[in-house]
Formats: sequence, C-alpha cells, structure tokens
Amino acid sequence: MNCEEVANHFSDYLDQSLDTATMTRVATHIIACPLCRAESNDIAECIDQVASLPVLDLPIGFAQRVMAHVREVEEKPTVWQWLFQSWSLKVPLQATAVVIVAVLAVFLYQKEEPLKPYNSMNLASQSAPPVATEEKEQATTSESLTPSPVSPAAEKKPQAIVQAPTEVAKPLADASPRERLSKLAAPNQQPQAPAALKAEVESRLEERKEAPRRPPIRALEVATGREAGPMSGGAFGFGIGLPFGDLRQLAPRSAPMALENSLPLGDRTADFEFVVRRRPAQRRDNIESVDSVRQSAEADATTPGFAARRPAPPAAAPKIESFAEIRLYNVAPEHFEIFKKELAAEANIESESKIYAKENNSLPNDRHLLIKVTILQPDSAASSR
Amino acid sequence: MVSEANSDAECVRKLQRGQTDAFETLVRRHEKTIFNLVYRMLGDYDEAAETSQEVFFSAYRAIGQFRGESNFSTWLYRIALNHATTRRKNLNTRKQRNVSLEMTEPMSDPQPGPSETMEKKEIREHVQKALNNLSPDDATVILLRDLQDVPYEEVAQLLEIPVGTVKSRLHRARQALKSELASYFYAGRKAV
Repeated sequence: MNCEEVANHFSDYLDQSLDTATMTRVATHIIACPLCRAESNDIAECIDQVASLPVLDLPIGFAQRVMAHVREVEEKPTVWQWLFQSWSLKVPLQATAVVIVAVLAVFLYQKEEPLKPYNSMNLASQSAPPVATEEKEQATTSESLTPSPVSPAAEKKPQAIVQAPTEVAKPLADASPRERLSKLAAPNQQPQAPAALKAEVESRLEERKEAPRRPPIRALEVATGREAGPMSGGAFGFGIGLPFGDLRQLAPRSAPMALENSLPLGDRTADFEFVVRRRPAQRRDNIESVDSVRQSAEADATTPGFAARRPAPPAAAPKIESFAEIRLYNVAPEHFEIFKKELAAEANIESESKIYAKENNSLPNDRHLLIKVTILQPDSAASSR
Repeated sequence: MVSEANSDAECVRKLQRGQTDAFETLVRRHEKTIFNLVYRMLGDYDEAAETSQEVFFSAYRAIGQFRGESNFSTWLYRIALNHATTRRKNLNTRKQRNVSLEMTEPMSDPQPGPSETMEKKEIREHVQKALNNLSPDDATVILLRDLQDVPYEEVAQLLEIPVGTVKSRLHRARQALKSELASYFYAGRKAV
C-alpha cells in the first residue's frame, strides 16, 4: 500500500471503521512512513480539537422562552378558526357597510335636483309675452286680496317661479293646520268677495273637524311640461286636496303645489295617458255655481286644507293663450278611479290610453301609477258659447 | 439510548395529540445539543440562541408532519442544520461573522490554570475560525461526526446521502480543516 492509498484511508483508519486487514496494512505503512505518520497525526489532532470543543451552556431561560412562544402560538387561532371567527365578525360589518352605502346613496339621490331636465320641457308653443301678461294679472289680483308669498317670485323669471313653491313649503310644513290653510289660501285668492271666502274657509274648517276622514289621496305630481305656467293652479296639490282643483284657472303655481314632492321621471313610461281640454271660463263659472257646494263639501271632508287652497272663481276670466301642458302624476292604484272622476269633473277628457296594457293587461298593484295628462287649451267655439 | 428514543417517540405522540407540555420535555432534552451544533456552525452566541429558538418553533409547527420514520433527534438535527445554514449564509452576506470567543463563549469546563486557559482559548478560537471558513457541507459533516459523534448511518440519513459519500465527504472536510489549522499547528510544532 503506497502513501496515496493510505491517505485515502486516514479518516476511516482514525475512526477505526476499516476492516481488520486494511487496518493492519494502513497501520504498518503509517509506522514505516514518517510523512504519512505526520499527516495522520495532524488529522487526529484536528479531530481531537473539534471533539474537545466545550459544550456551551444555553442562555438562561431558553426553554422557558421557547415554551412561552409555543403557548402563545397555541393560543392563536388556526387558519380555520381565524376564518370562522372573522366570518362571524365580518358578516355584521359587511351588513353595516351595505346599509351605510345604501343610506348614502339614497341621500345623494334625493339631494340632486331631479326635475331639472323637465323644467324646461314645454311641448306647447307658448310664447313668453302672454305668460308674462297672465302672471302679472294674477299677481295683481292676488295682491289686491291678500299678500301672497309667491307673487313676488312670480313676477321674476320663470325659473324663480319654479323655486318659489319650495321656499313656501318649509313654513307650511311647520305651520298648524289652521295657519297652513290660511297660507295656502293666500296665493290662490281670486277676485272674489274676501268676506265670503273667509266665511267659507271658516265654515269648512269647522266642518272638517267633525267630518269623518278618509285617507288622503296620494297623487304626486311628477313633472309638468310647464312648471311656471299660469295653468298650474294650486288645486293640483293632489296629496292634500283634490287633484284638479281648477284646470281652467289661470293662477301662478302656488303653495299647495309646493307641498307635493316632485319625483324624477327617469326612464319610466306612463301607465295612463289622458288628453283633456280645459273648459272655458264661462262654463266653469256655471259649473262652479251649480256644484261648488257639493264638490267642496266632499273634498273638504276628505282632504284637509282643500277649502283654503281651492281658488275662488275669478270675477272676470282672463284670456287663455294658446298652449298645451303636460303633467305627470303618481297615483296609488286604489285612487285611480277617484283621480279619473275628478279629472273628468274638472276638464273634458278627450282621449284616454292605457299604456300599461301593452305589457300586462292587469293594473299594477305594487307601485304607484304614473299618469300623463296633456291639458289642451279651451275650445274657442265652446268658449264663445 | 433505545429508551430515550422511545421516550422521544412517546413525547412526540403526546405532542401530536395536543399535549403541549410534552414538547417542553423534548426541548429540555435536546436544547443543549442543538444549541451547540448551531453555535459551532455560526460561531456567534446570540445568533445561535436566536436560531435555536427558531429551530424549536419550526419543530413545534411541523410536528404534525413527523411520521416517526427516523429518530426525533435526527429530524430535529435536520431542521437545525437547515436553519443554521440559512443563517450562516445571511451572516456571510452581511460579513458579520467575526468571532470573538472571549466575549461570547462561556466556559463550562472546570476552572483550569491561567496559562492553560489562554492556550485552550487560543486553540478554540482557531478551530472555530477554521470551522467557519469551511464550506457548510464540510462543517456540517465534521460537526455531526466529530463534535456530536453521530453515527455514519444517521449522518447519511440526516444528510440524505449514502454512507460512502459521508465517509468521503468527511475525509475531504478533515483535510480542509487540517489545511485551515496548518499554520497554527506548524507554528506550534516549530516552536516546540
């Protein structure tokens, strides 16, 4: 065995892991060869030095720290427990977040101006000068009776007139029924004997206190084709009084109208469409004279504030200029027939179309009906009669 | 030895059944061995203490995966060597492997005389430096075989290499260590 072969067996020789024969041959060579003996001694010394390295003591409290950490980890929930716990915690959190988002969305939706696109929607070919003339006439007549909060606004631009009801609505909402009636009556005062009107208001107030009440008809005017027009008539406040107090009356949009909430149309299609024609002023006077007591009694028994809002017939019917007007109403399905009757009482229904029937022949019960009313000018021939 | 292994296996079973206290037994039984192995691999007392804690944390987390096919100590050695090797690479990268045994190595030996203490400290310092200069594979096999006296078969199982490869690697590692310590031994021999 030469030195190279012996060198390859040094480790095994020192570990005594060689077989006996190889051990003997390696040992014989190491004894005989000083170089291999020196090499073997060096390696043996290295092994001894490594083996004699002292065993170090651990830092104090090593095991305690390890176990403390282990117990801390043990107390932490597992992934499944974390998921379960977070699920039970997250569900109410997510529900709360959804509610908050929904409330915020409704708040923002209500805050924006819904009728802006429709304020200028006037399908009639109305001209500004006649409207202005009529408004001035109405303002003059109103001011001659009682001071009207709306009349100053009516003398301004049409946009200002649109905002006027909103301004009036606040004090009305806070006022007592009696105050509200008096306020509501103010803008609709027509050239009528003030004493007689006051007496009528007082008597109807008394009657209303005693009369059995029926739930007020909820008809919300959604949009009109002519917001500031002289045909607005305070009686269109359907939610409080009868829906069509006076289609023929030329009065500025007044306080009762302001009590109704205008809703945005959106993409919704009207369920019904009526085309009505105003009755001429002369005929209206006749109707008023015949039916005024009966109608007002019925209306007053059911709707508070109607009498005050109901305009008195003008002493002299103003001239009606040529224009048409479109109004949209939200009416509860159960009130549709009443709405229709009162529409017929106030104007001549020239056509009626059921748009909902195209899709479904049944009357929708789950929502309010959207009714489109196109108000045409009075027939000149009938008016002259 | 066999009873200890059984005891380890029993503790492992208890631990796997959720008895955390059984782990404390295992920690106390193996903490010194693991710590010294890690310390000799790293050459830094504080790093060794921190790494040893991580070794036991890892063992606790992975105890469910221990199937008992090898000794618990072998399994624990493997975890310790993996952690120590990783930490050693990080230390090399940061070039913070300056060993100062005077500051960090507490003496557990009986108190020797002053001259003997200085000589031993010098030898240990050189040996530790030589170990730190070895490759991780060489240092590992030397420490397992020469320091921890782990049998060849167990080293082979631990490193997942054949026994013959362990022997040849050990021979190469010893030659490398001798080369690292040659200047010291040569100077000492020349002085003598």
